[in-house]
Amino acid sequence: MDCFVFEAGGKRLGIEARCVYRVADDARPAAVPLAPPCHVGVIYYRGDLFDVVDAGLLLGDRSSLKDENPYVILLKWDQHKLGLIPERIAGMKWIEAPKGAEDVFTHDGRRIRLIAPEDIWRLLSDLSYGH
Amino acid sequence: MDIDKYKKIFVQESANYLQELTTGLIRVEQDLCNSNLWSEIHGKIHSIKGMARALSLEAVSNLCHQMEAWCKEFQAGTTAPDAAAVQILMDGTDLLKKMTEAEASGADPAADPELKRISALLACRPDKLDRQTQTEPHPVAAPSPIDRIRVDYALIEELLARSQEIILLEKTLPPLSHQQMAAGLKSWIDHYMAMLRGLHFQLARLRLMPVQDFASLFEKPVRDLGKAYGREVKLNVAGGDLQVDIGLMDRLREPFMHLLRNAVAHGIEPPDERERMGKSREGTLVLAADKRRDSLVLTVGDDGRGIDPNPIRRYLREVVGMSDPEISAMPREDFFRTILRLDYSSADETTQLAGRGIGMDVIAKAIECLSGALAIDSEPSRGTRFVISLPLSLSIIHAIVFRIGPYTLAAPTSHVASIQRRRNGPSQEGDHNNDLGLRLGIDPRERKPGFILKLRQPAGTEHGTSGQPADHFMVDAVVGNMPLMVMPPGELLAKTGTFAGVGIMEDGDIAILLDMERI
Amino acid sequence: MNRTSIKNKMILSFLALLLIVMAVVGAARQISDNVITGLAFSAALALAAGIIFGGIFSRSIVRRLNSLSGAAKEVSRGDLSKEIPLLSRDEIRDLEEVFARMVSDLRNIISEIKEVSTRIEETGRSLGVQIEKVLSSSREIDETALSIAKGSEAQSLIVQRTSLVFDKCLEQMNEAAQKSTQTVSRTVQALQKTETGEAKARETLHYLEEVLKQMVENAEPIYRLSGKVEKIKMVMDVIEELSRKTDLLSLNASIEATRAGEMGKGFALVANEIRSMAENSRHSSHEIRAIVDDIFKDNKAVLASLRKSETDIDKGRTLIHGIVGTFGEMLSGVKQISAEVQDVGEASRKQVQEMRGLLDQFQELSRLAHENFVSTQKTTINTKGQKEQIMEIARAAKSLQALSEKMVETQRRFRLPEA
Repeated sequence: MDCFVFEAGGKRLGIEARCVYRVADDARPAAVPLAPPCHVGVIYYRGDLFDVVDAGLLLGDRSSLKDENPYVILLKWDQHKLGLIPERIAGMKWIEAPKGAEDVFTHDGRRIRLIAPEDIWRLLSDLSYGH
Repeated sequence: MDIDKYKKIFVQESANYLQELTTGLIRVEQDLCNSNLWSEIHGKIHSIKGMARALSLEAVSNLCHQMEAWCKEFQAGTTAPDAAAVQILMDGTDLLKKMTEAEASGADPAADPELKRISALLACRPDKLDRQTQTEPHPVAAPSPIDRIRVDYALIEELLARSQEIILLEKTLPPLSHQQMAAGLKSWIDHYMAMLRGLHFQLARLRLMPVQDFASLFEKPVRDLGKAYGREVKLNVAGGDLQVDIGLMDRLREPFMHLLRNAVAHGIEPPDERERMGKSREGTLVLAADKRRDSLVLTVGDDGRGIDPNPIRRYLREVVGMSDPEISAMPREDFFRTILRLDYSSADETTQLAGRGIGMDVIAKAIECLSGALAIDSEPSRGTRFVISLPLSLSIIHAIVFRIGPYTLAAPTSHVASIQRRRNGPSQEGDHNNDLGLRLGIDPRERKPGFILKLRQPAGTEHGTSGQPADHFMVDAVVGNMPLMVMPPGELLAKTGTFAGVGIMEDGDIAILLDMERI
Repeated sequence: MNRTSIKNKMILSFLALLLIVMAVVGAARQISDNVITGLAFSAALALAAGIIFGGIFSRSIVRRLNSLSGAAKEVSRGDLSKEIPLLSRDEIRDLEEVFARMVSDLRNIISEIKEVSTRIEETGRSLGVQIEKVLSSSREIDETALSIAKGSEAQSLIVQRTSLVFDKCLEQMNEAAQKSTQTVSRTVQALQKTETGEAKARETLHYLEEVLKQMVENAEPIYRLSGKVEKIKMVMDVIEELSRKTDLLSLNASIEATRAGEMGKGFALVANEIRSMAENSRHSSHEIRAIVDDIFKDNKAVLASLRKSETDIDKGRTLIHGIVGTFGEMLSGVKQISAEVQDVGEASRKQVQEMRGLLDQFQELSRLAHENFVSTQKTTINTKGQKEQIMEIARAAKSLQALSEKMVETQRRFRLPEA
């Protein structure tokens, strides 16, 4: 299946292509008070509002933010709109569908951890917002 | 003559007319001998015919001609119309829609087999109809997705997006010094940008549609539902002038359809039953829209039998394990909200509640995604009301945009009494109580307070959850008083309980709008 | 004068004593009846009386004897001034008189001796004085002769030395005269050389100015190059932006292609290709940027050194101007020198001649001095013999004087009463 592969927080991750909408690069997220540290801000992209999070902090162990203008992977699924800031983007790859286990191999031999957008959303929702 | 261009215009114009035609036909169905209505209907068909003729669209204009003939008779009163005739005309209208679309896409409009049937029917005189040749009513489906107003909606979105990108492009202008820029170029660019911003903003307003338009999408489905379930039902719309975000409404399309279906199928009683109960034969479905201070309230109600409480009580007793006194003590709202529970199944329930389970799930999820709330109220034999309140949906409000710490926020102008400069000096008493910066968790070291927004408490405000309402905000800088396009905050932001939405300024920058009732 | 003899005196005293004793005994017997006590008492009294009389008697004799002995001591010491006291009327008087007569005789003798010795002394003294005078004058003569000798010796030496010096001087002057002739020819050469030098300096200056002009012309393209480098940088910026946008575009294209499903597979491949191309382009543009930065740096360095060269050349130009001026001054200076040098040559030749004359005179002087020296030497020898004789006389006079002094010394021991 098609999988969008990127690296964040020291991990190599992949997301199903169906929920990947765009990659944006000129987004300047507006910070939101009381949001958790991995929530970088919100952006207004082509008419939609996306919550932008630091994928490294949320899914891994180090922040992905390096420079002023990061690439943001925009995800759209169901009614959710989310932006992820990765360390590095590998791109759209065709991989063998996983048979039960989480880790898969791509054709260039690297292990990728597949994550479902719903899981990301749950992670985000479980964080604390507000005081 | 650019035929394609005019064809496109024809399709758009005729779509409008067809919509009105449908509405007119529905109305006339209730009032069969209203010649005024027939006159209007006739006029509309005539207009479509005229346009089709001008573009030499034979099939369309022929069909229009046939329908027009019937309308003339009904209008003149020479023939008395009946429901079947109206049905045929309606079918004709549907067909016309399909045919005009076919014309636009270059397909052959005459290829539709329906055309033969309806043409044949229309060829006869209306009172000489052979009623056996009528087909069964089709399965009633939800109205087709909103893809057209006057302009293709996708086009609007595209326009919006592109104009936004063009505006953002200004930010990528390389910094040019005076020598490198031709004289006057800078001022031209500024002018250009201002115009673009204006354009963008106006386009944004196209995202709004009146509730009436949204509601009228359901007129036909409701009528069809009535027919399908053997009920007499009409749809009333209240607060139709209210402008609401198209995107928002689009997301409510399915949920509303579910609610309406449920109302017609399970709420509204058959006409005879109603008569026996002393109600009017015709049931009323109400779609009401109201704008409270910072939220949009949509109500879907019916005057049917109401939700049967017994299965709910049984569920609460058996599955949840509540005792009878507890159940009786539950407030009505919570009681009825039980049916929204995920594990509330209607599989072994009476047919009254069949179908409710699945539909409610969809509705509840949709509303949750919009950060809205659903309240259910029901009275036996009186009816049921579903009240959906959505936080300040997309709209344009005037707000004071200000900066505090690293954030750019906004407060509705209606809530701000005045803006004052803060004199530098020892912090005055009350500076730290209720300080906005503290409430938002801003590090005091990042603050450079320069202005005070004195707040106004509009009449009827309740005190905020923090107890003492703030009467002023100490902020670092004031960007200005400007119109903001406000979008709903989204699930995550809604969790903070502090923000009413995300405001987009004219130049595309974002200011987070404070929920003045929660601050 | 009545003489009493000592014998009479003694008898009298003795009788007196006896009387006293009898009186005393008589008294004693009356006082105490005790015989022994009376005896003791009278014995004591008699003893006491005897001691007293004895004492008085001997004392008067001893006294006179002591004074005589005392006077004799003084005479032995040489003091003949004091009169001998004639105190006694007895036999001792005889002694005293004799003694007194002796003393006055001595006095006479000694005063006569004194006179003689004094006269001898005077004579000796005056002799000594005369001899001294003679000696001193001979000494003076001696010294004078010596100094003359010395002087003439020194003189002769000086003259010799001076003549040597003169010789040397003459030699040097000859040399100088030759040298000045050489110098003249050399200054003429220098003059020529200076003239050539000045000409060359002017040439160099002209050449330098040419070079400077050339440099400025050459610098033009370098300045322009720096402008071009700026432009290249701008283009690089654009290229980088483009490659970034291309990258983004290809990413989004691959996303869209995925949505298109099967149809999009080929497109996805293409999108990936585009992406890797964009990567490469980005790398290349990074490299190019690095190179351009280097060029820019080099260019800057070149510009800097160019500017420095310009300043240096300007400095050089000023310097050479200065040199040219200096050369001109040098030229006129050298001309002056040359003229003066010629004068000097003349003067030195004249000087040589004069020196020769001087030298002849000096040699004459030298001969005279030498003769002088020789004669003084002879004089010195004569004075030497004379001096020896005088020395002997002086010695004899001296011994005479010594003897007379001794005599005076001796008789001085005797004091005479004031006359």
